[in-house]
Amino acid sequence: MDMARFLPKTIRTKMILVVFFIVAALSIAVLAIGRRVYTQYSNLQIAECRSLVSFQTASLESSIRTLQDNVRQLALAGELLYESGLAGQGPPGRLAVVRNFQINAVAVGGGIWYKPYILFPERERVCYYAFTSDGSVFYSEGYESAEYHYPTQGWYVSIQAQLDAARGATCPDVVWTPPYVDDTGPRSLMTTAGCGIYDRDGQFVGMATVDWQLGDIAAQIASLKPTAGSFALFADTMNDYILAHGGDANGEHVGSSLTSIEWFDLDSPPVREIHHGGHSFLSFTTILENGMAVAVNVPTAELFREINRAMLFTLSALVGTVLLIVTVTWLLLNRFITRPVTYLSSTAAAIGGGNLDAVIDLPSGDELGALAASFNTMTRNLKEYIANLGAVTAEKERFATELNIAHDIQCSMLPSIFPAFPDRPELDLHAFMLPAKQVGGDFYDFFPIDDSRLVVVIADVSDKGVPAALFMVIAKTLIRNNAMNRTDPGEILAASNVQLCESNGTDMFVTAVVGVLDLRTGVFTYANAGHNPIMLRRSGGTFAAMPMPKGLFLAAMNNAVYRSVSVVLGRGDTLLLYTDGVTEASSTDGVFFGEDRLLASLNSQAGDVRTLLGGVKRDIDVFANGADQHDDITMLALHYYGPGTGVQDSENAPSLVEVHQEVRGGVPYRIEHRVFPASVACLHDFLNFLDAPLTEAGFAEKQRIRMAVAAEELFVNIASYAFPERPESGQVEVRLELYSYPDRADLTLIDCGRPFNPLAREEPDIGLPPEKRGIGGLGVYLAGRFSDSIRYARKDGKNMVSMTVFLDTEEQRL
Amino acid sequence: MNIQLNREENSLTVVVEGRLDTVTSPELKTALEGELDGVTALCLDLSALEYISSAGLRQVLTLHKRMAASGTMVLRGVRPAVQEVFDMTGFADFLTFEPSPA
Repeated sequence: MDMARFLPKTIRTKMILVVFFIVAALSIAVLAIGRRVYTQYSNLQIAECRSLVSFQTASLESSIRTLQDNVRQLALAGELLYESGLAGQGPPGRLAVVRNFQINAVAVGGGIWYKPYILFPERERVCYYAFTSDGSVFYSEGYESAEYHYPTQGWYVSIQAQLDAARGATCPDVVWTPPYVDDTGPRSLMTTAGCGIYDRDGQFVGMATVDWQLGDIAAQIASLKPTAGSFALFADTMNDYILAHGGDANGEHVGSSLTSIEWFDLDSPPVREIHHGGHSFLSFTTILENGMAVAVNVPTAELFREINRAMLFTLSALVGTVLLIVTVTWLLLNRFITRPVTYLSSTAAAIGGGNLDAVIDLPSGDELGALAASFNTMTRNLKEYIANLGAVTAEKERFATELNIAHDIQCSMLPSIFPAFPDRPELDLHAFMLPAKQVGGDFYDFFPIDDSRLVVVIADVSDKGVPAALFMVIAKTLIRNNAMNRTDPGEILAASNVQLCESNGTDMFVTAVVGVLDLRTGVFTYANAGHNPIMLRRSGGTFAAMPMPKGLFLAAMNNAVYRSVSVVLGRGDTLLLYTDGVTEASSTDGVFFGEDRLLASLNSQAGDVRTLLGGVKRDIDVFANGADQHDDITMLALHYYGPGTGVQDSENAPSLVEVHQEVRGGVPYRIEHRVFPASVACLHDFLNFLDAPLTEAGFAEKQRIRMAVAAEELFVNIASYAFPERPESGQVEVRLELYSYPDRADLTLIDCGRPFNPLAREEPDIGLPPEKRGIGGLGVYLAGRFSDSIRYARKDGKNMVSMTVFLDTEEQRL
Repeated sequence: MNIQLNREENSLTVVVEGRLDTVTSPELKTALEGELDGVTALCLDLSALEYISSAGLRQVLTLHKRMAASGTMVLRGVRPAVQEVFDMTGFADFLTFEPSPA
C-alpha cells in the first residue's frame, strides 16, 4: 500500500502530528492515573457515608437493646412483687418503676400493669407507671380512673395479643407495639416494648412496658444527610410504618408491605445503587433487631460532585495544555522552519524560473541557513556558467556553420553527377556517401585514365569529423594523381601510401580499394589496403565477396606492399564497393547490419545500379530504425555491360594468360569435397575423384594428366610423411573448386598430420645427369611445374596445400 | 596396369599399359626382377602408357642406370602427355626415344 498518500504534505503538518501524538500519549497516561485516583476517591466517599450511617444505626440498635433489657428487668420486678404479695401494696411497685427510670434513661416511660382482677377480685386495675419529662421522673397511679382504662388501650391489647401468640415460643420475650400517638402524653409518636409477667405456674398475670418516643429518633434519622440532597428513610418494616421520610418525621402507616419496595428489600446488599425519580442514589440500608430499618439515600451526583469536578478540571487542563503545546509548536515551526522553507522554496523556484539575480537572505545559523548559502553559491556559479555557455554556444554555432560549409565542399569533391558516363555503353555506375557527422572520412572516386580504362576508388579514413575530412582530401588527391601515372592498382596504393606516411602527422590511417577496369576486355584489376571485400555478382548469379589480396592499410608503414589481382568481368556482371559504415550500421539494439544482411539486401534488389544502392540504403534505414548513424555510409556500384562496339582494341589488351596468373578466388560454380585415408593405396580413388569434374569442366587430357601428376605428388607426400607415428589413422581432406571467368580449378588438400611443408624442399637440379640425381624433390618440383600456382599454409593445426590450374584454352583448341 | 615382357635373345621389350604411378611402379620393378640378366637392349614400349608420375620416373631412372652399364635402353611410342613429363623434368635430355613402328 502506498503510505505516502496518507502522509501530510508539509513539514509543518508532519511535525505538528508528531508533537500531537506525543502529547496525546502523555495525556492517555495521565488519564489512566486519574481514573485510578478517581476510583479510590469514590470508594473513600462511599466508605465515609457508610460509616456515618453505621454510627447512627449502631446507636439506635444500642437504644433498642437497652429498652429490651429495661422492660425485662421491669417484668422481673413485676413478677417478684406478684410472688411476694407486694404487688397490690403500692409503695414497692411504685419504687420499682421510679427506680427503674432512675437507672434507665432511654425510655420516656415505663410501667407494670397487672391483669384485671388478678390481685383483687373487687379491684379491676392495679398498675405502676413512671415517666420522664424534662429530665425529671414522675410517678402516676391515676390510671385507675375511668377515663384511662388501660386494659382496653391499643398498646395493651397489641402486646397481650403478641405475647399470647408467642406463648410456647421462647423468643421473642419482648414484643413491640406498632407506632402510635399517645393521647395522654405530649402527643408524639411512640412505640412501646412489652414483656409478659407470669406466676410460677406460668399463668399470665400482667405485663411490663417501656415507652420509646420515636419522634426525636425519627427527626434525628431524618436529619442524617451526608450531602444536601440526601434523604433518609426510617421505617418499621414489621408493621409497615414509615417513621420518617426525608425531613418529615411524622409517621404514617402504609398499606403495602415495606419489604417489597426496593429501599427495604431485605435480600439486597447494605450498599446499593438505586434509581428513583430520574436520579441515581447510593442507598445505605440497615435493618434493626426490632424490625425497624434505616435507609440513607445519597445522590451519586452530589456524592461525587467534588471528585467529578476535580476530574473535569484535570481534563480541561490537560486538553488546554495539549492545545497550548500544539499551538506553540505550530507557531515555533512557522517561525523557524516553515517560513524559512517556504521562502527558500519560492526563491529557489524563482531561480529555477530564470531569475539568477535572486538572493536568498536567510542569516539563521542553522541547516537552513547553510542551505540558503549553498543556494546562493549555486546561483552565482550558475550565472557565471550560463554566461560562459552563451559564449560557447555562439562559438559552436559559428563552428557548425563552418562545418556545414565544409560538408558542402566535401560533397562537391566527390563526383556526383549520374549517370557518370552517359556516352559509354559499356558500363553504368552509381555511388553515394552519407557522412555520419557533418563531414566524413569516407570517400569514393572514379575517373578514366585513358580511353578504355576506368579507375574506381573507395576509401575510409580512420576517424570522423574535420580531421578525417582533411586527411580524406589528401588521400583522395594522392590516389587520383598516382592513378594518372600508373595503371597498376597495387602500385597506385603503394605510391599513395608512401606519400600519406610522409604527411601523416597524426595517427590516422586509410583503408582503400583501388580497381582498374578495362572496358574493352572486362579485366578488372584491383588491389586492397585493408578494406572490405568487393562484392561481385556474375550475370544471372548472386552477389558474393571477391577474394581480396592482403595489404596493410595506408599511412601506416611506408614500405607496405600491395599486390594486384585481376578478375575478368563478363557481360552483365556487377561490382559493389562499400565501406564498413554499411556493415557496421547498427540497430537500436546495437546489432550490426553485417555482411550477411548486406548480401541478402543486394540479392533482393532488381534494376540498375542506382536502384540497387537505393534499395540497400533503404534496407539499412529500416534496420537502423532511427538509431544514430555512427559511421559514414559509402557505396559504389558498377555494372559492366560488356565491351562496346568500336572500342575494343585487342592490341592494347593485356594477354589473358597474364591475367590468369594473377587471379585468385572468386565464386566457384562447382565444389567437390571428400575425405580419403592418407594411404598410397587410395591414390587411384583420389585421382579418379578429380578426373571426372575436370573432364566435365573442359580440361583437355594433357592438362588433366599434368594436374594428376601434381596432385599425386601432393597426396603421396601427405601419405608418406604427414603421419609417421600412426599412418593408418591419417586422413586427407580433398576439396576441388571449379571457377569460371576465367575457368580454373583450385585443389586443396588438408591434413591434421605433423607440420610439413612440401614446398620447402629444394628444387632438384634437373640439369644433373641421372647418376647424380637424388629422386626426393622431384615430385614436388613436378607439382609446382604442372600447376599455375601452389601454396602451403599451416592453419589451426592443419597442413593446407592448394594449387590452381587454369583451363588452357589453347590446349583446348588442340 | 598391364606389363608384357617379350624376350628375344639379348633384347627385352617391356610393354607397359595404363598408369605408372606410386601404386603401380613397384609392380614394374617386381616384374623385371631377374629378367634383365644378359639383356643388352632394353626397349620400353610406352605407347599404351597413359600416365606417369614421379614414382614411374624413378623406375625409369633405375632402369636407365642399370642399362647404362651393360647396354642400351630406348623408350618407344611415348604419348605427348607422358612426353611432357619427361621434358619437364629434364629426363628427356638423357633418355633415348623412338617413335612407334607404324
